[in-house]
Amino acid sequence: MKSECFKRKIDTSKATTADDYINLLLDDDKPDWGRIYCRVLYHTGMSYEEIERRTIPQIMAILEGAGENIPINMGLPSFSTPKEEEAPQDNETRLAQVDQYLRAFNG
Amino acid sequence: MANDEKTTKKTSLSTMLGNGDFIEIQGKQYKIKPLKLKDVDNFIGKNVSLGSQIFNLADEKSKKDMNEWLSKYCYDENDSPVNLETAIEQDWDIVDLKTFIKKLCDISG
Repeated sequence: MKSECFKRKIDTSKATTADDYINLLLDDDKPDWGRIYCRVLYHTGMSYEEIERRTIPQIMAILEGAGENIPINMGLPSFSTPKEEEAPQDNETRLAQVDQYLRAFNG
Repeated sequence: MANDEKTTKKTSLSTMLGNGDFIEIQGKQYKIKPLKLKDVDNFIGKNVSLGSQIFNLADEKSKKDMNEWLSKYCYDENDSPVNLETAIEQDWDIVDLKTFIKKLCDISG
């Protein structure tokens, strides 16, 4: 982890435990929204308030089209897989049944 | 500053329009729209279960959160927002709820 921080040129002067290094790496993975907003505002005529109404894929497409290589990784998992044959699922528990069941516990 | 390298990944019109994508649940088509930036932090912060959906229905707070995501980002064939009550009426099962959450994550970047 220390070497990964060093590779990414992260300041590790205050890191002492493994958790500290993990947190530094996690923080480094977070997108720099200040920079993203700045570049979107610079390249488009969009108002500041309009940006929050855009989606991440839209912002990524705009930045990429403008030649800005800014990664945006919010930690949303991707479930996209090559087409798989899903086994037909009959007898799946209906939401109504689950709701009724859980209400019994919640009173 | 422009990058002259040709990118191979193309962005669809539906992405730029924010139209979302479709899924089929219980024989009906539903439109799932991508999360807006302003909701992303909230979605992640509320620790929505991406696996077993039982946890997203376990208590009133979780149900309220699930209701919020459904009604904001899931629309039926009449373009009406779907909420938990509607989903129950339309005979969704647990796997269908998971399908919705997975799709939402997939198209939201």
